Amino acid sequence: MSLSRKLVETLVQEEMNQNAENYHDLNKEKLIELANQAFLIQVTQVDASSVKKSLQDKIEHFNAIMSDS
Amino acid sequence: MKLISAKFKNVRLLRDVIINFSTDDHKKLTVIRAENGTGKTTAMSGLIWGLYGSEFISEKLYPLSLAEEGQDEIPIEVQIEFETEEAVSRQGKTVVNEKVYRLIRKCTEFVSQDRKTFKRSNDDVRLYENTSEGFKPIIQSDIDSIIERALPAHLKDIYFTDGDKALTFIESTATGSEKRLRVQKAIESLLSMKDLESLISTLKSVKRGLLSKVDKSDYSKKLLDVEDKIQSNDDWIKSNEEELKDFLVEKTKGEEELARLRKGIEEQLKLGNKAALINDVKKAQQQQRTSEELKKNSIKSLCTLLNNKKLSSSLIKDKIQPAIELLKEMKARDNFPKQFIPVLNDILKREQCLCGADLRDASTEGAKKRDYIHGIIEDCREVDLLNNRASSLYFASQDYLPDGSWNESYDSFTQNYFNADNAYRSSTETLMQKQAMIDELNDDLLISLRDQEKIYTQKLREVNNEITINQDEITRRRESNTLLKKDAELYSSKLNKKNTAGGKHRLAVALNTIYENVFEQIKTTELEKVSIEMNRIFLSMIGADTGMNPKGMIRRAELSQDFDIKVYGPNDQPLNPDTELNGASRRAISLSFILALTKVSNVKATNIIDTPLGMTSGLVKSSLLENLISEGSQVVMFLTFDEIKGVEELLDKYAGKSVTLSFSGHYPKMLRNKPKIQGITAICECSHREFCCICERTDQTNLIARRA
Repeated sequence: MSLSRKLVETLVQEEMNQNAENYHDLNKEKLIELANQAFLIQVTQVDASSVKKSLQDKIEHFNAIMSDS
Repeated sequence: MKLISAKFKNVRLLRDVIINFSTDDHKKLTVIRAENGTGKTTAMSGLIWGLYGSEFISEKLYPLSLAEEGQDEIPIEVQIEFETEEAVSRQGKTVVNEKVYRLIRKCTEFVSQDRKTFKRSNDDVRLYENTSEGFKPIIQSDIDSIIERALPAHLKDIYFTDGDKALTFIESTATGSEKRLRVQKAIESLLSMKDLESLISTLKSVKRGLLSKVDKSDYSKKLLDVEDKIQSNDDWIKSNEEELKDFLVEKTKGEEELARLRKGIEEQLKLGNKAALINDVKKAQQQQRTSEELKKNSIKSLCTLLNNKKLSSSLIKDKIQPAIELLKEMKARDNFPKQFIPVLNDILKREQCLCGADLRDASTEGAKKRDYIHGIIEDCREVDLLNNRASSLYFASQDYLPDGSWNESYDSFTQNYFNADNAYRSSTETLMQKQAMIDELNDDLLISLRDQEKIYTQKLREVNNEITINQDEITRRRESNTLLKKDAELYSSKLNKKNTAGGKHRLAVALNTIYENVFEQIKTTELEKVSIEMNRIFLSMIGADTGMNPKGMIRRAELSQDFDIKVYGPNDQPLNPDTELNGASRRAISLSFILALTKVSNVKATNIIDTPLGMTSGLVKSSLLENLISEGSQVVMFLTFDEIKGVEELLDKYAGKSVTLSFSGHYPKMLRNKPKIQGITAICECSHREFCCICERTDQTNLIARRA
């Protein structure tokens, strides 16, 4: 696990609060969740291509959820 | 990450030792009381080897006592149980779970016949996960990455700290750039900067891939154009940032080299100006010649004086004085000179006396008188001789009259000689000194240093120009990207929302923006927080925040933007941590940096510190201890009996577990009771306030017997 996961999660939350206008048309909670998961993917997977694939999958998954809602 | 326990089997003195660590969040300190030479460093090395393997610990691990007993194949084992966070995928969702692992690392060391060398087998590493069904093995390929995520190997200097050393972050043996690089790497790692950079880069790639799938509406085309421009700028910025980093490293090295050269020039100049020295030598040589001449003249004068009659007068004055007195008396009596004979011979020759009487030989009267005069002449001859000698003596004695002037002359000439000799010696010494300075002066070196200084000054000027040009262009492209991104956001928002690729693209853009901003935040605000925290903890550790020493030398500490740890004194005067801080403060500044970084990064990991309180006492000691405990998430301290003195109450308050290590070889000098087995370190459950038959010491005071 990345040592500073909690710091990054905090900073993501702060970014969403401080620059909300950048993401106004997106579901804030879901975007935070997606951002945190993206970071976990980055730090838990060793191979760059598998990180990219997982990120694409994750974005697709969240896009589906967010479109439905 | 938290350590739960560690078991050491045949690790040097630790032939069979199990240490359980405190995992209590309220009592997060584990005290391992151990005297020097008991196995503290061995336990640290054993933990590092257990976690990271032989790549990090290549020194022999086997117990010397076993080799002495004749064992030449010695199995070594370290077991570490730890708790850490792991991300797991559950129903398409990545979540974080606390997991407990047991790591077992084994090897065998083969000791040579002469006991001088050894070979180690490959490490055998196993990792087991504690599940509801017991410990289950982890597949071999995942082991390293799990350990690396729990406690990265390159951060071992942060989490395994040897307090006795000057601490790697500020140790004086490292150059400025080495120290900065260590600090930078620690920060980048603990603040996940590399991970974030990789994530941003991957997100950009994902974003572009998704954009290419968006239908070819006007907006998507415009968006694609804008994205291309942004990407082009990003690529340029990335490549130039790398170049900029190289320039900055070159600049730092150049500045250090220039400082070294200037110091060398200064040292050479301190030895003296060669032209001035040559002039000094000439003067000294002239002085030497003059004093040598004076010396010779003084000797000549002295020789002349020794040949002088006055020396005789002085030497014989006691004898000659009565004789002179006698002669004077004789003269006064008119005893001499009486020269009758020439007068009588003259009148005989003239044949007429002074009274006119006839003295001719032809006349009877004259002949008679002549015979009488001849008689007188004969009679006078003896007396005249005597008178003559007395007269000579009288007149000669005038020269021998002692008047004391010889002594005065001798004093004066001798003094002149000594003065001349002193002047000669002094000028000779000066000459030798100046000559030695000239010999030491290395004109070639000075010229070479000055030439190099010119080259490096020019190089630095060029590097600085490159840096400025690069930074300006990076800033310009970033500004351009800010505007382009606004366009991209506009076009992106106008894409057909029912277009799946457009929706995914928007999410990728949002993620990319989030992490770019987070990364920027870490680079600026969080780094500044590390500096502020480091200063706060440092001042607290050394007692400078309590007003205890308002006139103290240390006023503040700071982490500069180029990763330099700096300490300042009164009037913001920079202090050199290597030379102007005492041992306790050096220890404190390093530990403060580590704790500040850990705190800002919000990392939960174990700090294992060997002799953290050495070189400290009083308030600084307790303050350092309290800070270490309060700022860390789990703290393991190896403390000597001396370090414990004075901080027992703090240990009572914070220690969740305490054990004592005792080495059998310390009996009978330090240990009171004879150990059952020789050559090993034994562990007992005694806390910092207790003793038992294993750890009872000959010099212990204020300890209480532990109840079994």
